[in-house]
Amino acid sequence: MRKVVGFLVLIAGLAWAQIPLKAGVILPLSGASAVSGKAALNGIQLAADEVNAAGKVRLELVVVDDGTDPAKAVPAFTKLMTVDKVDIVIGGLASGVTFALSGPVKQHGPLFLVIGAASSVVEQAFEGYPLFFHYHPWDYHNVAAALQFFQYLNREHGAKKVAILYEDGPFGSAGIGVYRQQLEKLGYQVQAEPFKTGSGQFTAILTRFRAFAPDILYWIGYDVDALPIATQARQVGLRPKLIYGAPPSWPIGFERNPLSNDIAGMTAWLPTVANAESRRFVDAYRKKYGEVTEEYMAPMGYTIVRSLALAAEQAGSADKNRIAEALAGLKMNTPFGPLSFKPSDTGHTKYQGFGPEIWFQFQYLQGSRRPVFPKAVATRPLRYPGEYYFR
Amino acid sequence: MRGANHLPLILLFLPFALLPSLPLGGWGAFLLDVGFFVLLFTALALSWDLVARTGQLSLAHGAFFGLGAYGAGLLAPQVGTLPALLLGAAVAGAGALILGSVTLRLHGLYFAIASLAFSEVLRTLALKLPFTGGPIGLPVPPPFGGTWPLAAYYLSFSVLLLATALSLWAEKSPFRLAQAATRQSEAVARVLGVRVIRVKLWSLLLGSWVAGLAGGVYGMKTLFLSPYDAFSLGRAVEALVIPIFGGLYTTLGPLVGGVVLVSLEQALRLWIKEGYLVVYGAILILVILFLPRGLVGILGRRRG
Repeated sequence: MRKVVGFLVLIAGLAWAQIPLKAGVILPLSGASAVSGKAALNGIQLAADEVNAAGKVRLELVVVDDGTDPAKAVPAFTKLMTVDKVDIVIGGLASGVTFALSGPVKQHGPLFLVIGAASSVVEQAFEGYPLFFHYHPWDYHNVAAALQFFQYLNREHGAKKVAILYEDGPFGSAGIGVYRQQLEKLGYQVQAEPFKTGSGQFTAILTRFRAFAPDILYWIGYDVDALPIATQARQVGLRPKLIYGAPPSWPIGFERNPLSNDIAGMTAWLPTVANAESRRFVDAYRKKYGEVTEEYMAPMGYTIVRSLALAAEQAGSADKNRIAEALAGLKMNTPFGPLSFKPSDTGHTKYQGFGPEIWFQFQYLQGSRRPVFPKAVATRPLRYPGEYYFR
Repeated sequence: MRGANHLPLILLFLPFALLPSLPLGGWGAFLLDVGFFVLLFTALALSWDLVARTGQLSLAHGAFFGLGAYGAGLLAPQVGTLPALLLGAAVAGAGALILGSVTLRLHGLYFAIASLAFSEVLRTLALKLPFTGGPIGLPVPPPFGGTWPLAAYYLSFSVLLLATALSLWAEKSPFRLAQAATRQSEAVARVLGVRVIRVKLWSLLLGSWVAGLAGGVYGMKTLFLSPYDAFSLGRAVEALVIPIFGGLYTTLGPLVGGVVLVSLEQALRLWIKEGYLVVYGAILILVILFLPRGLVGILGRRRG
């Protein structure tokens, strides 16, 4: 009888010692950014399982879909705040939607842990909001990382001409002026032309590019454009030394298509990244979902929940302000490398997680993506010039 | 008798008028947000129906919505909320006049294609013009400097009231006959003395004003505009799906359609979560298949 009572007391004690956390998750599970949103949610749920299994924090998630649409995101966010009564919100993947949330966030005052929203317009919108923690690098970090690679190509491989093919929407056009200017500053000759994403029609532009004879064909668009560009570049006889793509996510199974071979791009994470946290994440992900993801939003979501739980543990409280204080001083290893928060480069926001250091360049090589630059993370040498022929 | 005719409208508007003062506890703020978008998209649908009554299939309503949104968004910091909204609507109206003056001699699908091209041109302009914020987007201040939290809701309510008043006027006046004649046969309408182009132009102008106002209020709620969101084809499609769902060529049809469809989408998103679009799509198909006159067809009253 005593043992039973003792056991019950122990269980009650453990439950008492647990920090109960209720967090809202607002992600695009439908609409244009659904692929990244679902990947992020997988990472978040995986981390929540691990946190709950560890026993120190009892984390409850309330998930809502923002539909990649401000008209759907605003009511969904309000519901999290007023119906589900959460104090902590994880989300903010698409920049436009996150901007639309800036008003409601300031009104309700949650601890807002932002997974994406790279546009620096968002940075300005949340200026002065004290509980804004932005994990993803800002767009100027992305530009810096890409330019470092182009500088290397210019210096080490003598690349001199870049043909830029950019989609005419916000994603492709936003930084094009800056890119062009910066590339010219690095010594490149640049020819840039817009295209309509998903049109599948690139032969006219690529034929014009052929006369320019670029060393690098750089395209900024979406996953649907990857294969038509790879095919039609070959069809028109464009022979760049490198095809470099910058979509937010690559087509699923693209690596299995021989046309992907030698195409390069930039990402923040791959399952082949050789760090202990990344390997642990990949194993846990495979165990839970039976597959491995290449979407870097999955480890980003995972990182946010792990950091939240660790901060709650250190704060010893579920209070959002105390957790925010602990997060501000947190240092931890993640699948992307070390994480700590500091003011953003422009000084608009106080808590910026990752910077340009997490970006690296990869190349599709024999059926998988391999890190090739910078050398510190490269697992294979860059194939330059690449072979872009029909076999 | 007149009051009885308006009873369904009163029953539709009353809950929205009372919503801010209802004791809904934690659900209150959420329902106000949902109510805001229900009112706004219903107004947009009604503005589309005003044009459809002349037999024209407009795909330019996304463009009018975007013109109003950008017009109001750009002007609000200088002139204040209400003048900015009115000027935004005037910009949308100017867009309608330009579109109408060159395309209203076209019929049916040809007009639809021309209006779609108009939307694409405006979206491209919004992406390229230096003062629109281009692809990066345009931050918009909240209505009345954000001092009154319910301002956006009441503005949305006012836009729908205005749209309903315009629609009722069009429905009850001889303008309805001119619209119906134009829709059924332009040649016959001309023989009957209807100035077809003028009727179509007025309808497009009225529709664009309401759509422009709705766009302006939308920007003040979402606080941010991007060309792909503001000039979205999806917005134009939503504007035409609602009247088809509720009942074409009436005031009540788009009102019922908007309230039911936008609320239904939110409710399905809440309860079913992933995969809600399957159920939503199935409901749309069933209504279109079995209720060719839309939801108001159930009432068994032929209007328009």
